[in-house]
This record gives sequence, structure tokens and C-alpha cells, in this order.
Amino acid sequence: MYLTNDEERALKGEYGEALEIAYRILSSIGRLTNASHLIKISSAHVSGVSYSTIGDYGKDFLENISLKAKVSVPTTVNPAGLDYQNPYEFNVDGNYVSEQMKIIEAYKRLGVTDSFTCTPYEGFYLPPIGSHVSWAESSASIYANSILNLMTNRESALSALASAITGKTPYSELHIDELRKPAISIRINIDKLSYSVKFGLLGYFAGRITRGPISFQNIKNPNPSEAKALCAAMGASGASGMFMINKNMDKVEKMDFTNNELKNVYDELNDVEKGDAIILGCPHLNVNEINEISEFIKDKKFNKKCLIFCSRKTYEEAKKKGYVDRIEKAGARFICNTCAVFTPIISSLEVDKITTNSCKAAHYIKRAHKVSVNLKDIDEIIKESLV
Amino acid sequence: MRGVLRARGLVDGLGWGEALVSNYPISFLEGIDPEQGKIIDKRHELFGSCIEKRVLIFPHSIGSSVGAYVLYKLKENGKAPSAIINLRSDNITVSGCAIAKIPLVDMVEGISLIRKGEFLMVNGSNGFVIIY
Repeated sequence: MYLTNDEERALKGEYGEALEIAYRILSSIGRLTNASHLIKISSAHVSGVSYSTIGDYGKDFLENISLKAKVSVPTTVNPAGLDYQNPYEFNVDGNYVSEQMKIIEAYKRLGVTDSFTCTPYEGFYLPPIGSHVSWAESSASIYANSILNLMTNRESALSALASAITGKTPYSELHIDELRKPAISIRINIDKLSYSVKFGLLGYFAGRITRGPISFQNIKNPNPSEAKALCAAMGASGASGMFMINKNMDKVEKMDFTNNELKNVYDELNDVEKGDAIILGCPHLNVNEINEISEFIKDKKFNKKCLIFCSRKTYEEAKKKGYVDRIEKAGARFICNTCAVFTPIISSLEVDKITTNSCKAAHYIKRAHKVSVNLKDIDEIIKESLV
Repeated sequence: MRGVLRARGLVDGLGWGEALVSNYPISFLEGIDPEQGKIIDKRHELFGSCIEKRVLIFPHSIGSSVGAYVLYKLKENGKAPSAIINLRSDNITVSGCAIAKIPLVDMVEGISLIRKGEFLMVNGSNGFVIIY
């Protein structure tokens, strides 16, 4: 891969250790993905924030590099393992809290935006359409490519951090127009493709089909909630980084997604018919989605624990509009800036069965917390849990 | 010297040591103890092997992306392999080797010539492996 003189010097360590590490990551990933050179990016989104995922090894690395580097482009970060403004809210082990705080401090030293969300496209800086970006968090990078008209590969915590520091990414794979063309088209033929769960099931199915871009035929354009569910599930089940909807696809391999496939995926993700607690907000909810919940609730109350995950920015906006109060009055709790899955809060609930509307949460929650999952659309969840 | 094999250089640097060969993928997070520098996955064919200062050869990594930080920790502890050779490498191994400064190559022409215990030199910058 070609590097400019300046990039070569950074790689040799002439501009300090942090840039050396960052360029080592980028040049190595560039060689792996057959990139010709590095290109400039207009934003970065970095994963690897929850102590539940990166642990002590990741924390040590971040603490070290954060003493020597700053991000050079607008950079948002993923949710943490708990809310740093209310870290002791859920009786989480004290060591976990202090280690998680060190990770958050390290990111703050690096100069990232105080986002702590997996949906940085809702309420935070959005680069111009068509821009090259470097986004980790699979659900967000698929959303960026497929919905926002941005160009990114599915970055890892380390490659996105290296890009945030240098402002560059290898010119490869989904940054190249030619390589964004789907080789597989999925024809959707089911009764009614609507609601987040069905879109999630489609995404979960599609993610397993190919590592490359996917075309979906014969579906309506998803609304933002449906698109989030689709992207998140696709990211959880596979490595594909983007999809297109109803584009003309003559010469590509065709597959079908019928009621049969839908049922198989559902049966795989859904273990039980009812949960003992409700988890909403994987990916994080936006203000409209919170409003939707508040309208379902009217003046009723939840008959079980209900946790709702979103960014603090979303929470504050929804609170101003009065949605939050109504939901909190019904007994649900908001948890800000925290991942709905990779958090000790789930285990602290001490339940064996979780109800969620997210296929991604279903996939990870049963693996990370050894609980059974009940998968349902939000209107059904609320209907059956309100008294 | 028994031969020079061409490869794709992924992470710069020179590393040498005895070849430790596996035909099975490795999960760094579940499979390696960075304090001891040992393979601790009981189901793995290299279970119990010490990887410190060896040239570790395996197809590619599997499992959590946090595995990249395990390579970093191995290096900090002075227990890292001196180089890694993959059949076809992956994002986790590449980024882990990059932050830990472990030379890495893949797509070695004639990799089957390498036998367990042979002394190797791996050049990650220019992409070749020397068998001594």
C-alpha cells in the first residue's frame, strides 16, 4: 500500500508513539484488505467502550494511548457498561464501576464527543452525504452505508480509533464504488413485512448469506425503527456491511425469504413465550420511539421490570417533551449511555427470561447472560405488560 | 538454510524462533493466557504449549475481537510470540499484531514445507519466511 512521505514518517515513529501505533494499525489493515492508499475521513465512530467487552487488556491499551493522542476528526463513541453519571444505580460491583470509569476517562482524554451511543446518527454530527467515514459498531456502519449514503467498512474498535486519531482509513472494500455492488439478491415474499421484529428477522437471515453487499427486493422502504432493527440483526449474524433496497438486479444470484425462513429464524432466536423483564433500546431508542412507547402506555402501569436504553442526549430531549415522565410514571426505568446487552445491569435483574423487540439483543443477551429470550414487537410487549 | 518462502507482509518487523504449528484456528481471548504465554484452550491441539518467542503458525483467529488486546497484553508481559504466520489473516490478528508490534505474514507460498520445531525467520515488512 502506498503511503505519503508524511505517513511513512509517522509510521516510523517520528511524530510520536500514538501516531506510530495508529498508522501501524491502518497500514496493516490496508495490506490485509488490498487497499491502494489511505483516504481522508469526515467522521469516526469508535466501539470498545463497555468494560464487559474490552476488559482489563483493552482498558490498559486505551489508558496508555489516551495519554499520547487526540482524535483529529469528529468522533462519537459506543455505549459503556453503565451510565457514568449514575454508576452505582444498579448495585454493580465496585471494581467494575472503577474500571469502567477509567475507560470512559481515557476516551474523554482522547477528545471524543460525549455520545456513548450505538446510534450516533440520531442526534450527533452527521457528515455530508457521500462522505468516507470510519465507523465501528456493526449496526451503525451498516446503517451508514445503507441508509445515510455514507461510505465505511465495518471497522473494529482498534481500526476506528486509529482512523479517529489520523483522520484516515484504507481505501478498500466498501469505500470503492465498484465493491458496493451486491452479488446476492434476496426476494422477500411474506405476508406483511412490517414492524421491527420482522425486519430484524430478515436482517438476521441476510447476514448469514454473504459477507458482501446484499440487495433486498420486493419490500417497502423501512422506517427508521425498522431500518435500525434490520441493520442491527444483520450485524449480529454476519459480516456483511451494507444492503440496497429494490435496485434493479438482473445478473445476481437470487434467494427467497418467505414465511418459512421467517419462522425458522424466529424459532431460533425466541426461546419462550413470556419474559420476566423487558429490555428496550438495542439499538438505542430515538425520541420518536420513546414517544411511541409513551402513547401506548396512556395511564397504565407495567406489571414487570422494564428497562429502556438510550443516549443521555435523547433522554433529555424526550424529557423536555414530556414523554419520559409518562413512561417513568408507569414504572419503567431509563438507563442512559449504556449498552442494553454488555452491561452487568442485566444480570443484576436476577431474571431467567427477558422480553425484547430486538433480534440483536436476543442474539447476544442469551450468550452473554445465559437467559432465555422472548422476542416480540413493541406494541405486543406493552399490551401484555400493562395493567 | 533450507529455503525462502514468499508471503504477504502484513505487520512490519523481523521475528525469529522455533515454529509452533497448528491446523486449527485460535481464539486469543479464550485460548491464550497472556500472563503465562500459554495456550489454555483444552480442546485445542496446542493446549499447554508455550508461545513465548516462538513463531506461531495457524490458519486465522476466531472469537471475540477483544482478542486483539490479548496480543498487546502478551507483549507487555514479555510472553508474546516473536512472529505470527497465518494461512489467511483476519482483522483481529492484524490489529492485535499491529498494536503489539508482532511481525505478521500470511499467504505463504509453500507453507506446508514448514515443520514443527524448525527455526524460522519471518519478515513482515517485505513478506518472506526463511527456514533454517
